Amino acid sequence: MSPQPEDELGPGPGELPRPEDELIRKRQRERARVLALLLGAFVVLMFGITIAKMTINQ
Amino acid sequence: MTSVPLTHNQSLPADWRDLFALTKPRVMSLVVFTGLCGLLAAPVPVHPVLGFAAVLCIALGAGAAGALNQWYEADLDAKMKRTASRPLPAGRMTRQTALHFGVGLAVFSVILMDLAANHLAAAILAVSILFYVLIYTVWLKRRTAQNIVIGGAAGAFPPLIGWVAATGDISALPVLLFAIIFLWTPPHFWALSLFVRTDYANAGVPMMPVVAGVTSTRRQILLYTLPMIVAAIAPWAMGLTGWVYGAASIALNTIFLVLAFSVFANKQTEPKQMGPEKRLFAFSILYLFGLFAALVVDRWVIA
Repeated sequence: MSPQPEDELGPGPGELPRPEDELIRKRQRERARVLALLLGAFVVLMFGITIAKMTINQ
Repeated sequence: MTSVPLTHNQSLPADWRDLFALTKPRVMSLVVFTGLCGLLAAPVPVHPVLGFAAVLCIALGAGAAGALNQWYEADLDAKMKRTASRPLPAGRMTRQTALHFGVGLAVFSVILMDLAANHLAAAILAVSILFYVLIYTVWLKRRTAQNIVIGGAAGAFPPLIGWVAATGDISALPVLLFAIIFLWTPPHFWALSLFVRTDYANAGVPMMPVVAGVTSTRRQILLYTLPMIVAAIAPWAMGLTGWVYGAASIALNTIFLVLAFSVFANKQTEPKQMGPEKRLFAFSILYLFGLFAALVVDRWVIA
């Protein structure tokens, strides 16, 4: 098995992360937050649709 | 931002704002509005949650179509000033991300529409997305100057979907609403393409002003305006709407006709001197908002 290229290893112990790594983490955090919000909204919407359909069918 | 044609740092995830921009939010606003009006004009009460879900599905479907359009046209967008700063041509996102996002959103919107409304509304939504992506974007846009005429059908579906989501069937009024947007699209889009035709010519897109010339396009704008006016007045003339829609329709169509005639009479060919074309383009958006708003006012306030 060949060793990983140096720039894919990430910062070693005690090393500061590169600015690009920080940007990647920031983007990932933002996307995770937005996705969590959308999933939460989706759950609420599905609940609402279910209740509405039950109301109509009664 | 400096344009970097179709290259992207593979390790950098796309910003969620760029994913949102991929859905063409400005175009979506008109689609959502006409879809909502189709739903509200239907003669049956709609549960608010189901109505909201149906309009949301129309918005998501339009967003999916916009994302897939930008995925396919990234090379064209990079050549045009108007579109060069979009996420894909500006190199802020990979094409694969746009494709996955678009397909995922399309499938999700159709399934949700089926759950919230009915099979027919979901089927028409699926057809409208496929029509925009396959018939307009992939097939017609780069091949014929009639691209907008036939492709305009894709943008005409939302009021029909809204109506079907509420009623479960198709009648004369939603068909007329479809016809209004279908016939409105050529004058609206050709007015824009007249003053940005250099962009289209540079990108090799055979828009009407590029292929047939400025004079012919102006004549065709006027010619398409006439059947559009007939379609827009027909709901009132056929007794399907009340006097509010009739009065608004006559007023809006009169202004549209005057502006279309001023475009026809304009002999200037420089984009900077195309005031009548810019006025018609701006008014055409207001026209559609006004006409559909009048339809809802007529149905809800007067009735």
